[in-house]
Amino acid sequence: MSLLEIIILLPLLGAALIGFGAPARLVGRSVALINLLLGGAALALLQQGKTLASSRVVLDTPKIAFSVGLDGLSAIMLLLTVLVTLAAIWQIIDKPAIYYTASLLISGGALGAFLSTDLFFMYGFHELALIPTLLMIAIHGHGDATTRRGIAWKITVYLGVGSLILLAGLAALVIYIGQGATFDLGYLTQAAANVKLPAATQGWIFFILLIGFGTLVSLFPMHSWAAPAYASAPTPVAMLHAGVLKKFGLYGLIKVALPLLPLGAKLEWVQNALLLMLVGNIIVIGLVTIHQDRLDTLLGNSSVMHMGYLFLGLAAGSQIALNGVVLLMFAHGISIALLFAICGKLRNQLGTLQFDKLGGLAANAPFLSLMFAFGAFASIGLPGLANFAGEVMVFVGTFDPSVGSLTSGLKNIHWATIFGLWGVVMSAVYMLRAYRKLFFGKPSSGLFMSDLVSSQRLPFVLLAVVLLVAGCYPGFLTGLIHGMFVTAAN
Amino acid sequence: MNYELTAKVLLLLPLFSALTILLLHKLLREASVYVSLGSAIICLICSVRLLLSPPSGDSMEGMLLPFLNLPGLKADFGYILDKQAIGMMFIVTFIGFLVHLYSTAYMKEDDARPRFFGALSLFMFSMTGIVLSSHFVMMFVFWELVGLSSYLLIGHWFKKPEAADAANKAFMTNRIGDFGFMIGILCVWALSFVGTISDKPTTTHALAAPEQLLATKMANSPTAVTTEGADYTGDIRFSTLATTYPKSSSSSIPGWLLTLAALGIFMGAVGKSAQVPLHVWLPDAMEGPTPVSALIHAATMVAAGVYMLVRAQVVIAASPLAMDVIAWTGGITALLAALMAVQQNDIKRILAYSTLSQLGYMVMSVGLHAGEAGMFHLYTHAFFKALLFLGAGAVIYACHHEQDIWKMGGLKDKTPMTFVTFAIGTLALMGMPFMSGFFSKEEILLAAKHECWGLLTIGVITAFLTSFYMTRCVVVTFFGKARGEGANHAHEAPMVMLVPLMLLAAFSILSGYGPVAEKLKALKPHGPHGDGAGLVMGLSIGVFVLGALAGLKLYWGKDKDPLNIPLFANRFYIDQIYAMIVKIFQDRLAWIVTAMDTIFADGLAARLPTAVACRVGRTARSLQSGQLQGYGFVFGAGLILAIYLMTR
Repeated sequence: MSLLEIIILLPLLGAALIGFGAPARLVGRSVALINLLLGGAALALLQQGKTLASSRVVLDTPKIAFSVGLDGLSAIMLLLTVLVTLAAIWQIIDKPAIYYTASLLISGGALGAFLSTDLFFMYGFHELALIPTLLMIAIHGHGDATTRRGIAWKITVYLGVGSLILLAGLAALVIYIGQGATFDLGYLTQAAANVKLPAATQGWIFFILLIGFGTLVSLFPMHSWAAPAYASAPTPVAMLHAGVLKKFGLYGLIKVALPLLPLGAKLEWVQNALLLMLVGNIIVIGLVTIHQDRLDTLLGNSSVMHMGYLFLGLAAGSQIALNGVVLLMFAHGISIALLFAICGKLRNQLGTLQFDKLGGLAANAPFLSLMFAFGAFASIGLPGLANFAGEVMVFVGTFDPSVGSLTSGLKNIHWATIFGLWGVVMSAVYMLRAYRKLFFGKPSSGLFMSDLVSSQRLPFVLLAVVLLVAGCYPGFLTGLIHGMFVTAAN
Repeated sequence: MNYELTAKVLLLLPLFSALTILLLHKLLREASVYVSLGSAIICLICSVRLLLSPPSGDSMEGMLLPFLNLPGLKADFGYILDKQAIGMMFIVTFIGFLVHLYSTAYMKEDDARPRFFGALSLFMFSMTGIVLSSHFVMMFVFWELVGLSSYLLIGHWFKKPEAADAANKAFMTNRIGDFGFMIGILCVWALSFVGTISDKPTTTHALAAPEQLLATKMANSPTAVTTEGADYTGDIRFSTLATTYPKSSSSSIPGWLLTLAALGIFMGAVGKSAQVPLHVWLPDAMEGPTPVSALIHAATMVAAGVYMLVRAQVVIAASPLAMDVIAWTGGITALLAALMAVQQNDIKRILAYSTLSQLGYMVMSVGLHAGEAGMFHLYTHAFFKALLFLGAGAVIYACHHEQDIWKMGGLKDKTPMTFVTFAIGTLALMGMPFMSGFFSKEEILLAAKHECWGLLTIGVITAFLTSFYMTRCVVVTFFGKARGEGANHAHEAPMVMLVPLMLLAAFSILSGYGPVAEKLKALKPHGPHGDGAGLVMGLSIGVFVLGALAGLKLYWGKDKDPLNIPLFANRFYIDQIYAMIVKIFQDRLAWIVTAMDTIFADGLAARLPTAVACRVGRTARSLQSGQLQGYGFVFGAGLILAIYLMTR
């Protein structure tokens, strides 16, 4: 059994063990820790130039194989997943065992989706991770039963339909490029160069994939499931979905759609549609986020808004921009997980997240205040924290000469970038307002927030340190994907 | 001397100090103060050594830390040590050290001292980063970090709602400026790929000769950029701008692009240096502790905008339109802020508006092609304005945290040392002959006379107003009789606070003269300004005397303000107008957009299919209840479709 297979199966096995009555906390935490170590080991092997891949054929015609492989992109997603999983598992305190089962299932599914190099398994693992997400929101979500059921339904429909559209797109890829013979991504990528689909066909398939994958990433206007879902989801689920699983859509677009359909992504109508949608993410949802009066929906909406930057980098498609997208996916995952973790702590102790009922928390909870500052400032793109480098690379990448010469006037994508930069201003507005209202000012009467005990601080510190390290030395992550997007850019 | 090591120490030692305090403040407690102070002393020593033995040649460049290095985007952190950087570094570390020293006494009663000194160290780190910056991205990185430390220090007393609001206002307003700054940087970066260089090299002074030669050589061959052996694409270093950046628009480089780049860069400075219309954050920033106001919101950070503009001179000078906009923005800021200062009653606010006004002078001179005059004024202003703020701090300290000048009075006898030093700072600011402010203001007015009569008029009127409102401030604060409880029981500040005042007072005089000025002067003088110097000198002495006389006549022996101009006192109602705009265009718009989002995306696009799915789900629920079936239905349908497509 290869290392990657172990990394995928370990959480699933852990979930099964807990299902059979093994001590949930012990198994959950051990699996998370071991997976962090294994993930680190896989990364180290990759850096030494080792190829990590294995394949088990499941079905001959059409060829479906449980094949896994690690390249720089999936390595970064792997690192993100194991880090967030650890932090999420640590947030489960005094909860039924199903919390652990669900978290491990989501983690295992996400890992499978990121490490698989076979479209069938890639898709399947993602669905595997979605089901516990939806169930946890329906059963253990916050809010009263009718509301959270309504929300659970909404997500089910959205993500279900999104997945269906995605499946249609993937099927089209298999049929048009793979001649219906194989789901193997490596083979399909090579075949794409030979088959040379006409640009118009590529454009349609790309658009279908964009809508399918895009729904999973809450691309405007298919976004309205996300904010209520995150507000309602139990903390570890919100962390895992917003931090990790949601990125699958973008990962898919970069890993599957761009290399297989290089011409389609560049078609003008596809580009313009994408730009319109992503500006919707940034400006419309940015304004919606400013309007929120409670922390959980604010974070949920901000996470939707920030997807706009990722799509912007994707629309640019230049090498710098795509490097930036990958970095930003990682950074956003870590920062939003950190913020949702804090949100969970506040909800547990205070029972409310309404801004006008809270205030002055920094006086009694300086550690939480510091951690919130890390998450908030990371998410508004403060240099020194991971998100900044990603954002800058995305923005710079859109002004790349390969995207369009500036000298003949500002192109649509440049305008989208300018809107995106305005979005950075809006991010500062809502995040700092939230920070001000929650942590600064006079302490609100009757509500006391005690700081975290030392044993609970570990995951917070871990995420904050990762934000800091990746922010000060982004070269470590970009080095992993160095040169990966040269062909995609040209 | 090892210059690279010196640069590294200057950058990293304050960071180390900040991190130490962040991680170990519980262990260190009082010692945190000394960690921060120690780092400030060492930085001062380093920068004095740089000042005394600058690198041979005009400047020196090198690599500091790896950050980003992608094909097409070379953004590893480097440093430049040239006259401009070394002079600015001295200002930052010298005033930084004095403020650290002063704060040990000023903040004695504060329980959160470790946090305060940690943030001061973070500020020192960010500011030295700006000074050393070798390219635009690095400048932007530290630009944002000074914003963060300013945010933390304004909000030091975060339990006070005013302080927390002021911190937010400062950060958000700066973000608006940075919006433009980033657009400017993107344009400059994109222009580095445009392989042709202006075919009309401008006639500059002799210093630029070798560069010009290179530029001409490069212009002669179309693929010059690569054939020269150096790859300039994606290069955003300040040092190569002179050779690579287009000097003016040409057939391949449209003028609007150069203007966009220049105005974008300038917008960054508008935010940081608090120029109209983004000036509103600076007066509110006075909610922070007074030593912070002296260091960050008077002497160094707010001047970073001017420093950056001079660094990016090539970019802004490429667009004549942008230069006009810059000059007039500076002039208007100088005048408006001076008018506002006339009617303020809070001693720190008077100084804050005066800072705005002086920053306006500096920006104006950059727009008048006289960046070096602006830098000179930046240096002299840093000394006397830091002196005034620290003096104001001593006054506030003496009067038991009273800030209203009308509740002070008669302090010259109770706090003689503070009075003398404050008076020296005031005279330097007013531009009394033979004080440093006189010389530097003179150079700016001279530049205005050469370029534009309108701006000279504005400059002279502003000088008159400066003289007037500072006379008012001193007369009301230090003369007459005590008008409040605090002033009655005033006591002189301790020696630790007075020593910085004396040193700054000395520099407020000396920095206008020979050796000191020579060491500090950023760039070569603009050339002989012989003609008109007499006229300008006459004008500035004239308005100095007139302003002082008017101030004395109106305010000598008065107990309340004889002037009442609501328009000035209310700062032209600009803050109120902005509040309204935010309410309408942001909060209302956000409300409308949220409502639309709920109706369309949530209502029509989600409720409808949800309702359909619910119906289907209810049918499925006849077998068993639960959500799983509903999802299973959708999932199963997907599988069926897939199988159908494959077996077709």
